Amino acid sequence: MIEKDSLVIGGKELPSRFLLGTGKFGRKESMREAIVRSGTGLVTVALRRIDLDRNDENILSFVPEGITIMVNTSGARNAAEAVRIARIAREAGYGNWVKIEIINDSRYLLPDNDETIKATEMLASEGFVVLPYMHPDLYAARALVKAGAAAVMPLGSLIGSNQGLKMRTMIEVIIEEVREVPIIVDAGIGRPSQAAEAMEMGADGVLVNTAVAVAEDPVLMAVAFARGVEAGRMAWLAKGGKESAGASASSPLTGFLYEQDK
Amino acid sequence: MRVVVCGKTTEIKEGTSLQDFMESHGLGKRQAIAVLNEKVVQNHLWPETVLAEGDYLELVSLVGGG
Repeated sequence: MIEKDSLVIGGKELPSRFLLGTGKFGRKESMREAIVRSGTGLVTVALRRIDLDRNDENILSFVPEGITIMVNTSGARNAAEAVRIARIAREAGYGNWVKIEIINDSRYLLPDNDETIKATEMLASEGFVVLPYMHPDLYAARALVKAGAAAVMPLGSLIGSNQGLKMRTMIEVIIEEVREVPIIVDAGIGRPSQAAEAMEMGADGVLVNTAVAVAEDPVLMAVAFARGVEAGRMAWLAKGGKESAGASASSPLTGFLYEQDK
Repeated sequence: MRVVVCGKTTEIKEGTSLQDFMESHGLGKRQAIAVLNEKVVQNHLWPETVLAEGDYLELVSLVGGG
């Protein structure tokens, strides 16, 4: 039987375990539709300096009411910059949810766990709901929890790469060992089957952006991801059988018709 | 009078309020967050916030991101 099974982060119950990023969408209207149709309850946005020669539309006018907005700290290269971005967003009235993303490697865009831990500690102590994006390392995950993270978000593979769960084993270790907060797989998830795989492993949620945004039909892809996440979650709750090397018949092999004693 | 806006030195008239400045650049409350000398100025305070020589104004907005 399927019982109520919600993802709760920082005391807030989210309607879906599928979380969506808002970058790279060709049409903002498709993004809105992707949010609505997928049933996600949380989207990430970024903060950028305004170019006075160009007037961009506010992304929030395409995010339906009732969706939790989580500002990311992209562009931050260290803890101090991440903290500054989070404070600006909160002071401006965009809530207190923050995804910490601290990157100072321009080639592989890998998050800096040490700086991320520092920023998590500062922002959590200021009352932010902090979701740090991190390189899947058990010690770092534990330190993030100790620092006050509301969830821990290990990367599945290189950001925007669509490579799926290249970090699978290390994420499994974190899922197994870090039970205090939800584990959300973020970055690199390229297909709904990979999202389902993360959930089958026991992840509490999946955050996807590029794979949805760059699809020819982002709305359909968002729904596909949401269902992949849901299917994987149900499979995890259902506790499947173990993999085995040998065969095991699924139909009875005895008692054939017309079989005669010899 | 000179102020620095988003890293660029900009000439503005004495007595220009934040509201005047934003309007002259087509920036409404929905589009922009004004950070004056490292402090966010709430939208409703824009009209009474008068820019002064040497002020550092940073303008940011929310954009799509993962």
